Amino acid sequence: MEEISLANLDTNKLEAIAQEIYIDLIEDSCLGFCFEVHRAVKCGYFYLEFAETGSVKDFGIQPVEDKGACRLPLCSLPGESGNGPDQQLQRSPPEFQ
Amino acid sequence: MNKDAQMRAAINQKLIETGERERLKELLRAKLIECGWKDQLKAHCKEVIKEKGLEHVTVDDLVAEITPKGRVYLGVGQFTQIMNCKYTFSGIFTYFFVEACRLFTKLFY
Repeated sequence: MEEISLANLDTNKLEAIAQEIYIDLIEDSCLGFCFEVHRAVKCGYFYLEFAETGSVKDFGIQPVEDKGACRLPLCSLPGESGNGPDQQLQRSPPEFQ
Repeated sequence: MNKDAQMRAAINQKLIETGERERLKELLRAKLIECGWKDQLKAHCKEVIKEKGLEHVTVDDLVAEITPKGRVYLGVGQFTQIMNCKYTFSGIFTYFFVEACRLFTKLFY
């Protein structure tokens, strides 16, 4: 392939070439962004990116319900029977009784 | 193929061979993120996904809705107006052009 030289190109032509490359790369970036978003949607982490600006309800996702106090044995209230090995550990500290 | 077209093809080929095209692409992407273009598109994406539904949105939907917006935000398709584009991203092409010229000088002079 013969060597190319840009010496004969004026600014307008150079600008036109740069613009073609620019448009090409913009299209690439747009497509890449679309694939990124689609992947985030299908993998389920898209709404995380928008948590600060909105709510998951915006996308029809129900927020996790508050199910009240934990019912695990180690979290039992004092006086209630628990299943843990050490009953003493299940009691709240004195200041909370 | 006329001389101009040959020149274009040769430049593109050289950019790809040397890996400079990829480098320009990364440079441009970083600039687009920095100036908020990606955030603008994210906001628009949110609208599209709300409209189509999280479960039903396809790549085609996103490409059809997002790509034209991405171009409009940058004034692409209105070359004579890029430099004076009313959008905040008008300086992007200027930056790109300067980088491209530096690159051309490095590769071809």
